Amino acid sequence: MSTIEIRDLTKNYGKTTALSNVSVTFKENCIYGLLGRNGAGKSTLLNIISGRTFADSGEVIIDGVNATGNDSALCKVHLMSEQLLYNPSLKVKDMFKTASFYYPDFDMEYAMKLCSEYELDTNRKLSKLSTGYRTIAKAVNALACGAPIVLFDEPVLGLDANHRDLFYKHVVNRYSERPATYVISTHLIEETAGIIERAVIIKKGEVLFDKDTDEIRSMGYSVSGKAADVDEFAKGKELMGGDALGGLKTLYVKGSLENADIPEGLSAEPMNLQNIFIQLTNS
Amino acid sequence: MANFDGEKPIYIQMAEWIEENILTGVFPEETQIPSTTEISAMYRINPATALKGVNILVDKEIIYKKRGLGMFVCSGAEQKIRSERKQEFCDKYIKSLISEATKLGITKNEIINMIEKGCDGNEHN
Amino acid sequence: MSANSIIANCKYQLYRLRSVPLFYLIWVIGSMLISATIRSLTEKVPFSLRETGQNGFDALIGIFIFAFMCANITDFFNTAAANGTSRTTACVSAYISSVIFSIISALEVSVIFPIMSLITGDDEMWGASLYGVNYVLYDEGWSDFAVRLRFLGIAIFSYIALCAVVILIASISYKLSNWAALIITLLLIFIPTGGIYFALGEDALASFWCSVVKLVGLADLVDPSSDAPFIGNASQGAAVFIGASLILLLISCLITRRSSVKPLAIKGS
Repeated sequence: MSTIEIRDLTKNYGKTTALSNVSVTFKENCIYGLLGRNGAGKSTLLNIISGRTFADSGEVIIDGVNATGNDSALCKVHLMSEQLLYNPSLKVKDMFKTASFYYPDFDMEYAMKLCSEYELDTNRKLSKLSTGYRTIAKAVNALACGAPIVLFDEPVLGLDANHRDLFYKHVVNRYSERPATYVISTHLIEETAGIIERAVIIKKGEVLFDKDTDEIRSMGYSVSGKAADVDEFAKGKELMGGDALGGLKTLYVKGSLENADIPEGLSAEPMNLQNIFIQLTNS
Repeated sequence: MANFDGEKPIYIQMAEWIEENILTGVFPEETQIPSTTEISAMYRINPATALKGVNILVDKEIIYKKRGLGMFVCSGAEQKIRSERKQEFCDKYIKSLISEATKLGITKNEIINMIEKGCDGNEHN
Repeated sequence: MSANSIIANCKYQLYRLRSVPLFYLIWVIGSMLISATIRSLTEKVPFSLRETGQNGFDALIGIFIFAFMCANITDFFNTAAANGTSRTTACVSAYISSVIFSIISALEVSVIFPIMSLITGDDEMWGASLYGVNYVLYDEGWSDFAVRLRFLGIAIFSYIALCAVVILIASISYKLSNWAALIITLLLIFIPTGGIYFALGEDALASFWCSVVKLVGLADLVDPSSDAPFIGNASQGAAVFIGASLILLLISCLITRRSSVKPLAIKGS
């Protein structure tokens, strides 16, 4: 059971600002979605939390302790990312064995069980696996490690639909058995929308907000109809974006659909997580 | 298999799904329903969300929790759901029926005829 | 740094080096067999293991240790980072692992030498004899045990110093881009050799290296004070090796304290 508090984190790569004064708290026992467009800063944030790289300023506080270079804090974190930091000549089961040296709660039996569900041969070397299966091996490693904070950076990259579905099932099951702080950074928003409880949205290196997913869904709704009617309705309201197709106009209005008074002739619909994300993060 | 997809809050969808199954007899009264862990794993939803949905039904006295055993359907739950849905029927179905009919220029009498035909059709089934 | 992290790192690092002692054995046996075979073919004599001993085998082990550490050190850093431990811990653990590994290697050598000597009929010729050959020490009244301990000590401490050099080079290349690291490494090699020669002349180069040799307790080698057989100052040598290794470790820790990870490319993907 661990909390991560990020305070005013800033990270620049040369002239590019990857993160700018990011402050957010990941509380214990919750599955977070870390959402953002390509290059928004999600991977940088996760890399800094797990100690793989360092911020230019700001702090990462894990359970009240500054985590920078601090093993007793860092050993509570495991990051699964596209990078393979284990020796590629290790067999899958040896990667698990290595992780078990570092994470005392590593569940080897569970890891082997998951591998058989994915049909992953644990005797194969990491370098000899396909990209998809290498990702699966790393994902299983992360699920089995037993750390109180598990970070996933694009965990389903390259996985087929069946394996992705299996992964989500495993996350939910493992989380139920053994609650921890999970942070899943992903582009597949609608697929993951069901399993995440809270979403932290990052836009251009800044945190847009950190909210409950149901709260986010009630942040806006879409209104469609004749362009003139829609514009009339939208007067005085805050908008998130819109589309037009000939005489048909759709506007995305900020606010809850329940409180909205939709006139005749216009159709209004709630927006799903992905739609709201897209409208909020379009420049 | 149910698909809890994104527009209505998932916990509400889940509560409605359980109610639907109670209504159709899949979950009979005084029998056990699947646990939130099982439901969340099966449909890939967050366990906290599943719990939220279940708690709505506990508050509505549709299901109850038996310590150490699980969750069960209350007696009279089916009736409760039925009457609640009857109340919602007007808002949900009638209003949108009338609005759609108006859009299409269908008159009140035509609607009534269609309803009568529909009901008669059902009786033969 | 925490004890658990260090232990975990050392476990992994020693696990990765676990087959090296077997390698030493295979090398020794292989070299003896090959030199016996070559000799019997070229000199047309019967195949025999007599006089096929590996002189200075302990020094060769030092080179092997250096090579195996070089091959594995980046992996040690990366694996440490993959599993929630800091770069500093990776350096310190690598040092501790190399101490353990040096002791194990030296002990293995100290067992191989007498057996080899039994088989080949040669005298044991340790590289560490640079600090005094065994029969000279016997003449001085040293016991066989004390002589072995002396050789073992020199071997262990020099291996540790070599490993510290590897850790430093790895830290530099971890921190900098590959080109910058290459340049710095070449400078480190060039400055004490060609650098001094071109800048200050041959005499300066000679006197620099004489000072180094004196520093590690081999003063009499370059500056014989008497006609007596040479005995180096082993304790001075050991102290210098250990001291230098600790300084190099400190520098490595400081260099890598805030360096980001550099994953290896995956071959065959």
